[in-house]
Amino acid sequence: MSDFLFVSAALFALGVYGVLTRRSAILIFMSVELMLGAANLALVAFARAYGSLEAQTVGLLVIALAAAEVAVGLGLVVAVFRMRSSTAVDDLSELRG
Amino acid sequence: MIPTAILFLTGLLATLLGVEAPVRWVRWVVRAGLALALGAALFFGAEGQAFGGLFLYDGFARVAGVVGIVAGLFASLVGARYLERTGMERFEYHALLAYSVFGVQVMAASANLVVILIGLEILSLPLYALAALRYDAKSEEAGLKYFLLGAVASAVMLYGIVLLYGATGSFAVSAVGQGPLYLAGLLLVLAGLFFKASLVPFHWWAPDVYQGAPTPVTLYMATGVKAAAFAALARVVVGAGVGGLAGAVVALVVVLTVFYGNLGALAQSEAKRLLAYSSVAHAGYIALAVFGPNPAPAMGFYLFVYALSTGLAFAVLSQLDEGEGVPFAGVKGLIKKSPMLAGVLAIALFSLAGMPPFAGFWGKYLVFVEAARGGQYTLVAFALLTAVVAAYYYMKLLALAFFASAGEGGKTPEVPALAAVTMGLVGFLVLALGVFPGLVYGFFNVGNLVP
Repeated sequence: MSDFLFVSAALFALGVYGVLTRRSAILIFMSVELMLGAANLALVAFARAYGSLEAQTVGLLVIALAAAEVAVGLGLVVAVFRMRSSTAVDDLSELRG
Repeated sequence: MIPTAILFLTGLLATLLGVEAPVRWVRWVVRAGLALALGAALFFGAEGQAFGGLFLYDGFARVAGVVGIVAGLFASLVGARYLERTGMERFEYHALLAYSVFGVQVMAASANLVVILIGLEILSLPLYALAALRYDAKSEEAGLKYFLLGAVASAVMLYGIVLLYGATGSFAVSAVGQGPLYLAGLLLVLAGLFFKASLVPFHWWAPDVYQGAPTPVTLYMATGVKAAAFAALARVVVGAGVGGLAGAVVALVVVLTVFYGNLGALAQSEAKRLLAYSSVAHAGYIALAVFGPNPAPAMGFYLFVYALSTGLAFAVLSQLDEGEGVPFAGVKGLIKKSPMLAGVLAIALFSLAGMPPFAGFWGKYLVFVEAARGGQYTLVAFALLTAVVAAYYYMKLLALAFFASAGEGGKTPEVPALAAVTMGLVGFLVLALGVFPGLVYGFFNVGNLVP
């Protein structure tokens, strides 16, 4: 049990690190997917520990949710790339106050 | 229950119809669907539950849902001219709006964390696309920023939900556990919800996204999304107990929010950005309500009144905006260009500043009383002080519209009849609710947040 949690926490921390340090929209988004995967791993581990089917179904829902996010997110990245020929988030600096 | 079903079917119908039919059909289908859902929620408020209690349409869900529908309808009715001018009217715009309002209903109508997260995604995913729909550099930037930060927030919230499940063995908001696992999970879930409700320190996306997104979309974002986020936030905080860690965290966040939101607004020179900071500050006032013994009526009333007032202000900006935003120069001398728009803007800003006899005053009064009943006198004093600062920047904007000279003869904004009637009606409602708040208070006086 604690092995699963340890790996999951490490994956989540890696994801957070990636979000904070990467400068490309695609890589940031990949780090987010890592965070979702970490959550799913912990979820399934808990589901096994509690012997609960409910939490395992939620695991499937989370996969569907991540897929929906990919569809919208990659669409946005492509739109931005067409406009600027770059997906670096540092270039997103038109809106300031 | 029924309004949720109507909204879902409206979205589906708009999607299917949009492929073949002209866009104005879709526009009217979505408006009719939203109006129908509003009528059903107001007059056949059939409360009930479905899916074994996962979907729980109680009084509070109904109130937050109504605010969401009103926001969507408002954006649809006053946005026509903006869509035409910026050339962004496609059927997707209307269909996505309907789906997003549907998401508000789902998020508000559950006491189960997983369903709340799914509702959050249903309302957010269409919004990411809507924010980027104008297809220019600013709009794309707003869409991508909103998406990346929103995706991080929902991933953080999901991890929190999983940790809470590990600590308590349940996805219900009312499941209380203890130990580090539970506390870490609670903090992560709260962080995700703070982000959606744009509470400091999770607010930095709001000014950029509100400024870059198409103005009618900003109208909906600032009002409808807040209703859903606060419905979920109130359920989580009340479920976990305001006496514990959740209450302490919210108190800290409220102090930061009212302070930073109002001070940030002082430094702005763009009307949409100013209203974005103002909406951050208002989020702080709304959150005050959770400390009271009976938070639902104060929070519901504030959300409704705030949605009308902020919606009204953004509706005026939608008429002035040519797709480039509304710098303060664009508001100057509005009274000469269009007395009607200037009058409506005055009503909206007075109400946002919380001056009697406008509806915003009663919203503030109710949440302050509610927080005081919960014994949070320091918080109330702090919120009152910052509300005075807020009055300054609202009046500054108003003075520009009324007393500044218009400069080099800007265009007279033509307001379509439908938008004018809608704004007039909402303005009248803001005044009427300010004089007779008791007329509608009963609607907001609903019972428990947590089953």
